[in-house]
Amino acid sequence: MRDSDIDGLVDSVIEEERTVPINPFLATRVMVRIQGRSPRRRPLIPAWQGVSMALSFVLVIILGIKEGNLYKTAEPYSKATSVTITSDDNMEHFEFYRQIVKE
Amino acid sequence: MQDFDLIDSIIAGNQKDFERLITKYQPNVFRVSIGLLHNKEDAEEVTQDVFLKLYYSLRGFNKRSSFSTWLYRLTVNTTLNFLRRKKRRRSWTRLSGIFQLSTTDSSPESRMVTHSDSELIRQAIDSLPEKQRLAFVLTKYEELSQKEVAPIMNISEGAVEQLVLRAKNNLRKKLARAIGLSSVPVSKGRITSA
Repeated sequence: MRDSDIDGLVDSVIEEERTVPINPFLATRVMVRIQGRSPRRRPLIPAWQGVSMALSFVLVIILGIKEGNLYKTAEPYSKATSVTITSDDNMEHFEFYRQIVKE
Repeated sequence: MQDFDLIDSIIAGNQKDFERLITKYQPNVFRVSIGLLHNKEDAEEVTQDVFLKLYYSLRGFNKRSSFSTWLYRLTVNTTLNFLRRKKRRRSWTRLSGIFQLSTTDSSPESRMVTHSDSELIRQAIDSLPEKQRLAFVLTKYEELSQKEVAPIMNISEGAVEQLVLRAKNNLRKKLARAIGLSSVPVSKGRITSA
């Protein structure tokens, strides 16, 4: 076999690959992919809406903290409870009760 | 409509013209890809990638070279990157295959099918050094002249001629050995046949 025979073999393989048909929908597929990720598309949430949403979250958090601080500064126990605890009568009553239990 | 007018129109936002550009150039891109990849599905994937890259980089085209030269360069680079990724994936698969039982059919019949002449020729083209392979594919698959290949590969026409000549000689040597032919004399002169 000579050079020309090998060249002929190579050429036939090349010709076989050159004539492979292209997918007729290739251009459409590319266009779909371009439109799918087009940078010109309008964003789902405009920028100002995102900013106002974030601001409202921050506002709600600040209000929550302030409300919580107000609750802390209030009297921790009701007057009625503190009176009951510090009342001498009640303490005597409590001592009397303990004695009964001991007996 | 000329290429430059089409490009201006696409940049202005006319997507229909981009579809026209794809239709015009997709056979060229596909032929170069299949010449380097030898696989229809892979060549189609690369062709799609080339046009996607083209769309997003069209504004960067400075119109100093012809549009086709720029597109061929993009095609060659995208295809070579695809090949490198594929090689990396293949070597990883081979590595993981060591730990699995071999399931490949190694019957003489299957060996005969995989090592047919066409397959051997494709393997021989793939085994050429990268520059020789590129020059060979662009001149043989795409039938470009040396004058057209030179700016794509960024080398002189003489260098293209040398690369194609060496590629053909290497192919003859490899194929003579692989197909088991008698010693094939390698030509030293200028190859004039396409």
